[in-house]
Amino acid sequence: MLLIKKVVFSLFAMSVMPVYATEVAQFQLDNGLMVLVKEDHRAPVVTSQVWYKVGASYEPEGITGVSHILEHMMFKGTAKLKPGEFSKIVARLGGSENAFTSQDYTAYFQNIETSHLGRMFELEAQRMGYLKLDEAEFQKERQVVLEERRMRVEDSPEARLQERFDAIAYSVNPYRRPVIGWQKDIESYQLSELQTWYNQWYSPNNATLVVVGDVKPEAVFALAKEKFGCLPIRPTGLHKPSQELVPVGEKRLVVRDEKAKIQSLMMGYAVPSWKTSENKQEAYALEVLAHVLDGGSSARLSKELVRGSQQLTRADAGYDLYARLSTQFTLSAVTSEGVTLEQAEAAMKASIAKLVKEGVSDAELKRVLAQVESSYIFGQDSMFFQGMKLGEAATVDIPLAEIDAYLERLRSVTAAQVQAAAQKWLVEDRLTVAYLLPKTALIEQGAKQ
Amino acid sequence: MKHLFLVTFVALSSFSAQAALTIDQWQTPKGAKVLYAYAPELPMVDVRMVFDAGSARDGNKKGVAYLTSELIGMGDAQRDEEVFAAESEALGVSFSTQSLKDMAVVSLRSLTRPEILTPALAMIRTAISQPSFSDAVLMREKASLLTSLLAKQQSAGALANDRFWQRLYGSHPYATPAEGREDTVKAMTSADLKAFYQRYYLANNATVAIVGAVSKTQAQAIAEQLADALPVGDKVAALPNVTAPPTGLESIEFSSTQTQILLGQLGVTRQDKDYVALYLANHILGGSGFASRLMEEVREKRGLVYGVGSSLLPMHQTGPWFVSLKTANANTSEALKVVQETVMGLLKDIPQAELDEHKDNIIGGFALETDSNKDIVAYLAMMGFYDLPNDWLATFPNKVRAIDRDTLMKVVQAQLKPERWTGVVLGKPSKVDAPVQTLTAPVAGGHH
Repeated sequence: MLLIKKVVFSLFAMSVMPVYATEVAQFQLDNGLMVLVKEDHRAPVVTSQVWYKVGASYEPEGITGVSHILEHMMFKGTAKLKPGEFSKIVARLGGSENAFTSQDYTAYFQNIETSHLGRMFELEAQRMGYLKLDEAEFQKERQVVLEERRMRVEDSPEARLQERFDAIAYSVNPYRRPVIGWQKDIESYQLSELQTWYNQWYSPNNATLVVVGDVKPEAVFALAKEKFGCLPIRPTGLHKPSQELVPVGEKRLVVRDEKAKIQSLMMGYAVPSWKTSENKQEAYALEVLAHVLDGGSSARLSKELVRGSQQLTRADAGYDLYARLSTQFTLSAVTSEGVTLEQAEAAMKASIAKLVKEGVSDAELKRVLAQVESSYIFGQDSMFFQGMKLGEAATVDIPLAEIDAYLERLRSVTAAQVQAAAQKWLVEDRLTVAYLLPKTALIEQGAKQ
Repeated sequence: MKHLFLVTFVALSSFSAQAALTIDQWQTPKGAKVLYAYAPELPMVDVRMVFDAGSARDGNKKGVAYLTSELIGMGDAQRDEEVFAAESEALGVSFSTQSLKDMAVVSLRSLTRPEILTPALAMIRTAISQPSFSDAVLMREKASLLTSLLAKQQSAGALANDRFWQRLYGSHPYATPAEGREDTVKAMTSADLKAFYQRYYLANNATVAIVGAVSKTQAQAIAEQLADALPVGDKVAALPNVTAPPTGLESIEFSSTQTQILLGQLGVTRQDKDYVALYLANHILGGSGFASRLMEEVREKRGLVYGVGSSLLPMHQTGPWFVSLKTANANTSEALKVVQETVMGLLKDIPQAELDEHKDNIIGGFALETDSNKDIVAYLAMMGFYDLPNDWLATFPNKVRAIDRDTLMKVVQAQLKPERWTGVVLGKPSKVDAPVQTLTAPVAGGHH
């Protein structure tokens, strides 16, 4: 199933202008299950999504990736369903389905013709309450996950760079560990650990049901009550409090990869997310900043470094506004031929320095707002995408009203606030820099492992 | 917030019967084909223009279609690329171009408010009809493309894929990736791009699909404004026929933890009478994720892969029908064996129950195919481009329903030729129990 490394929404950010705000109906069952419904009557279909408040950032050392392998096992049978039967039933009804795990959540979905929604609820309720973990199925799935890790990480130089970057950029913050888990952990899970994980986090009181499509909220609530209402409340796992170390200076690392043919650069500044920000306006200012740097061809990185100086062939900025924990404001790049990573890093830093010194223009802010407003409308073309936005917000405990006010909040950000946010957060002490370099023959001989 | 609803039964859906998608089709005065569907719910419009100007038209200048497409929107008679980027992004419109083997695609998505749509269309009209193909921009884009070509060299998946197409198509234009080759890209000049553009970006070589909150009259005006800004030219010649590829597997050593496997045969053209039956057969073999035989055998039963599937890609000329997977180097021979057996199994039998399950999935899931403007505009452009009838989409479920087991088995047995399969195995399978040579044994059927 799908695995989301870290969802960065800066370029596809959810925005809701009051004038467009579409009603989201909200309802909670007695057992704590939160139900969110948004009507979209363009086609006789629906997306049904169940979101759990658990993901890689909840995991202790030693069992990294357990949320992800448990997500795989959720397709492998319940008290009433044989392994794989869940998927077969959905397929037979013409539905498509999958699941995904991130640092902050684990979610399951079906896209299907509306009349089958009740059946989907039955199936989801089954695995929410009565998952059956089977040893033989588990052993096979472990192999599948190891293949998934090879595919996603081991054979991809850029993914290896990202994994190593996270491991260094974060010190205590659990985002330092990969969603898929370290290889040794994947090789070492016990079935009982999966069972414990399931017992701790899979309960109606730790989940949100999101439905977007050709439905009426009252009918969905009634149906949810009928299908999920019987599930008992279960105590959820406890978070031990943790706090990221205060950054005290730049961190650097080099990844040499024998497959790498191109050089790439990853930079990140330790910053708060909306959730962890003491001053929420600063988080929105960082969001605007990400768009100013990388919101299309006319944004600064493309304009200055890809087309202007032509030192980079690709340059991206990213900020995960709605991360559950503190995050990184990232800048990444692929260098042009003949340009060293040191030069690329200096060029990126010069762009930031210019922004810190001179601030942003009104035209830039206007462009960002126009794009964000359009992408809100464009995003409504996909029911699944609308469901994603709602599920993500509910799962990281961001009030729907806040999500609804996204565009309004961005509008309230001034040029001075963007400049101030850059001055405060994009500073050397908060920086981690990672280089991906091809492994030269010389190094290969010198440092063969 | 906690509400209590006392609802005994409320109809779940507000729809009693979904109105079928209505597609209008016409030609612009200069001969562009237009397909239009009205979608008033969201205040936006999608316009997708496709030209018979894909990389299959490259000739010897591999990559010229790709670069031509890339440079549209990077400077024209009225705006240099900086002004174009700034003005289009200030309107919040999304404009992109894409180059495939058969087609070149130009896409526009915009809000329909006149203060946005009117300037957006004017801007796009100039961008597509008077591109400047400046030397400076081309030089930069060539450098960027060369870096991408280099990046492919570090990706086992990309390398295996390119090699597979090359093997399957030999000297046919489909053999080369759209991005071209290092030598041909290096040699490319703006004169090459201009010549390609003048030959293929013609009103009468274009299909325009329009979906959104615009009336038919508006759609007519949009199509004319965009397509008829282009000249009329000679009809584009048909692509050459495809010839049979060599059989057997080619092994390529590459430093990766997984071995990439691609194997298959020639499939069908878009117009082939057997397409729907083969679509169904491929759905059963490996085209339907967890519902497919390959996923069941290779992943679910044996845990050999994360993903495995098969693709039937109908094109202007005969497209490919192939299986792809990646597995730990050590599992390569076992995975190959299971794939071979699964492919052979399709020739032997497709039980009625299994056929019914797949038909139910396709027919029952059909509404999902057109539940967004994005999906609809892509279908319309495809149908127009390949000259499919306007009811092609609407009648697809019925065509699937009509295929019985006998018909299906006959088509499968006539078309599926495992003994002629060709493939690529890229990785380090030699490091493990099976020497590379044993992998080049026949894929299936005991013939070479």
